[in-house]
Amino acid sequence: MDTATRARPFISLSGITKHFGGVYALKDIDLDIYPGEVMALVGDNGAGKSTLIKIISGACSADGGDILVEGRKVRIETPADAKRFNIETIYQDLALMDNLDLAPNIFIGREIVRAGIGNFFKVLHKPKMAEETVRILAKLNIQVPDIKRKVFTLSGGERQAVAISRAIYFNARLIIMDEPTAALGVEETRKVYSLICELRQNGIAVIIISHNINEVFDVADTFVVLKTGRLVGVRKKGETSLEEILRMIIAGNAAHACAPGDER
Amino acid sequence: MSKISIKWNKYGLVIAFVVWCVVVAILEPAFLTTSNLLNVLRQISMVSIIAIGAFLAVLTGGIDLSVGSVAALSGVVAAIVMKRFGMAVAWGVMGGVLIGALIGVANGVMITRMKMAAFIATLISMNFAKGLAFIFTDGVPISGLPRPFVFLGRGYLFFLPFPIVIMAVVFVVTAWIMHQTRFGMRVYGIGGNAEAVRLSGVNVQRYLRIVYLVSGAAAGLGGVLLASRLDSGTPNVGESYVFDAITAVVLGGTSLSGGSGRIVGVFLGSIFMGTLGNGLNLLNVPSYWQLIAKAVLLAVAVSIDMKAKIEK
Repeated sequence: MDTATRARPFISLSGITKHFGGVYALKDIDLDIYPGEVMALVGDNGAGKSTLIKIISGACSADGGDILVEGRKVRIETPADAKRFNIETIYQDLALMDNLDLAPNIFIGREIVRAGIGNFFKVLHKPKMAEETVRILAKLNIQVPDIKRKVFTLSGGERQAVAISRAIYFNARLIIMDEPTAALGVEETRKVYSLICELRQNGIAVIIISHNINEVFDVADTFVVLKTGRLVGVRKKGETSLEEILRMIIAGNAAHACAPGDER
Repeated sequence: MSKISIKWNKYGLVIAFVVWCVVVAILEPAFLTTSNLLNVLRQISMVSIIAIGAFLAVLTGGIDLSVGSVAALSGVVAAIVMKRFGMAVAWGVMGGVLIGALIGVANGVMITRMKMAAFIATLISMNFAKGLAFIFTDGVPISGLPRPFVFLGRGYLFFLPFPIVIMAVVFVVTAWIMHQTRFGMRVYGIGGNAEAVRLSGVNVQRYLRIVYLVSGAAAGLGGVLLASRLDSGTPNVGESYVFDAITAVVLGGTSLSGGSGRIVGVFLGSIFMGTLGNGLNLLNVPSYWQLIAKAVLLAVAVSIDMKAKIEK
């Protein structure tokens, strides 16, 4: 599927800057992400990938620059802000509560409740949450033996699937994934990527951070290369090659002399 | 091999408990009488209510070492409110619970705002509460409390000692809150992965402050009951309770690393502690040796918890 689905971008970043003391973690980043676009954010360690997604997901805030969601300028200062704009983030390994079963992991922070006494004693609607958990897993073709199982007993791929279901359930328009396959085997990685394709089909934008450029090259539509906090370049899959992306990551400049002959 | 040890983790303490009961019952027939068993339940009612507060703190991955001193302070405050200020019993009870809650708030503020480790924050308030209890009383117990107040700890509802009734109500309500409400689910979540809960948009710090407030209030309630049972607000009486309460929490299967444990476990852990003390008393074991026995029991329980964690 093609990237820019001719619509306007779901989210636009312009001039995003973040520094820690005198060190720039990000400098003047401009970026558009369209609905249904799968964007791979690549770069060496310290390139600023994590900082950038933290700014979009509200885990930390930028020192300068603007964020536009569907053309409207917004402020994203907390994870709750990001969720309000239907931006969901799946963190590498801090996404789930191992000690609980599936439903709480999907619903925490936005539980389905019956009436309650005051703010704290809202009574959980457990059957409804269980039912919805089954429904969302079925929708994404995820097989989990038993939703009553504690999450720590699940495999890496199943855990990732739970995290993705959580995002989907709350109508994510943009899902950010930090190293979604880092801890997974080959088969499980394949599953996660097929889930990502499913998201794209549903018009959901996806940002993937990955160290493994070979792996994301197959699944992503767009490649965004960062180096030491600067945007090296943005490439569309049809117009680039693995070699070019690798060169951009290492050299930190966008050489144009690359022939896209052996692209994937 | 590993299968056997997992079973041991799960049921080891239950087995130990049953064995202990059988041994005591054989050696001392008075153990298995209704009146003695009711006596055990009455004895554990205060500790177990205090343990519920400690349980919440441990469940979030923290700890509350101040519960014993807070219980003593609360008993003292309740006695002062009724005896020196001549106020009604209800005010005495409320005053005791309230001072506990206040210390709990201070714990919460130290932990969430000043970023102190829970054990050091609650160690600080432990001494602070103890100091207050002695200052308020000049170290002299305040006795001769109003009759209706003493009823709380000594009275009966039909054949049931009243503190057992209070304990039952507290346990049922807390269990319901922990397993059926959003608050309970989020507290379990915080124990499992506080960062994940924070990233879900929940104000984790606020929940922690509530947890320590509740812990303080529970210790306060336990202290009030204790004062009522003793018919006296005594400044040094609750100190041993911190050890018993935390031991009951761990014996009940609550993991010290947070996130796992059940209210019913706290109850069973309290019963284990109660029968241990009661049995040792019946067997005429000197109280100093009972301290050693409890210490060994806690060491065993914690090592089982640690082993379970490593195997996971």
